[in-house]
Amino acid sequence: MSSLERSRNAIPALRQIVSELRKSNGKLSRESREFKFLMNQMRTHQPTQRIFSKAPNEMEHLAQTYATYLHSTRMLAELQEKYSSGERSIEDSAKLVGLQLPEKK
Amino acid sequence: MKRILFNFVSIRSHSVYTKPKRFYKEVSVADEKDENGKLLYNVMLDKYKLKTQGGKFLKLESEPLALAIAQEWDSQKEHIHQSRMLLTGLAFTSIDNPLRLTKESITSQILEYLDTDSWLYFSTEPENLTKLQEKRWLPLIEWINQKHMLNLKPSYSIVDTPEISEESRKSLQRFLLSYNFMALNGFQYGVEAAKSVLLMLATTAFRISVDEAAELARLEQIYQAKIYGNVEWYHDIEHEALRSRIAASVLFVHLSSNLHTVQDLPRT
Repeated sequence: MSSLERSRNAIPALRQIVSELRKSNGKLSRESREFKFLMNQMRTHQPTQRIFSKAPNEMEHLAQTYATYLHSTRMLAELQEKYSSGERSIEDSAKLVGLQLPEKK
Repeated sequence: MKRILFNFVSIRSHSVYTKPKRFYKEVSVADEKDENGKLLYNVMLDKYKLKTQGGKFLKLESEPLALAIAQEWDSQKEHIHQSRMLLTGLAFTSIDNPLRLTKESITSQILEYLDTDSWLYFSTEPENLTKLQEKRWLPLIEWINQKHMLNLKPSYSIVDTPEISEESRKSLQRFLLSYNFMALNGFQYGVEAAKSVLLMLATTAFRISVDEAAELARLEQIYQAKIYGNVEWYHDIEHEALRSRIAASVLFVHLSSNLHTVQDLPRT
């Protein structure tokens, strides 16, 4: 696989990463270190550079892995928020079994 | 401010009901050179360098790992949910090493797990489930056997154990020991989350994606859910939790290992 093909394969994953970062942080500034790092990764597989790697297409797999990590972490947080809103306060739980919390002084 | 950081750092295990509040505004990564001139990366919460729970400064050799950990801290909104900061947790555990593990002890724990590897135990019924496991797991077992020169054979009954030869064990032991200590911590985390060494071998080698790995780990549950119905608050949460743990594990293994260098070709 040529280096140009490799970098093309990484672009969907890198796009997903940028999208996830925007969703999680509200913004992704072009000046931020993450943004610069990601752009650098997109540029890295240029014909003028050779990557010595045990797995030559590691970069796009890693990018996809990170995109999956960001996505699943966000999904998990959303699901947990959605299903935890039913939690009763300690007061209500006590009322359920006929007890009353002592007055706080 | 320093006191707040110390208080947070000294909270070893907080209950589910008390979550520390986000006490920092800006998160960033700052680099520094150690005494040998090597570049190390710190995660900064406002002006303060992030410390592990054991009180050590978190100095990382990998810039992408530092960025990813910084991102975990920056994505916390009002409260800090440590359960959603898996890379941070792995980094803290590796550096503090509270259980005093070594490369050898982690490796032998992983090899012990092989005896109960879920991919080496095929169901005998229902027949459709067995067929599904054979279709999805067997080719990967074959791939792993070829790649690592093993001869692992799954078991089809609870009574019989799978075939794991001594040579297979030694071969895998050599492979695992070639990882550094931090990477092994990551690998073990994935093994325990997915209940399979073979899954981690296939995923860290990028033979399968994390998404596919999570599906294969939950093959039976997904099969049952198709028949009996899916309960979102249970099944989906379980699936996303597994996805994030496998992804974190694979990331941590790779970002902790120096697997490649980039070299500019000479201009002609």
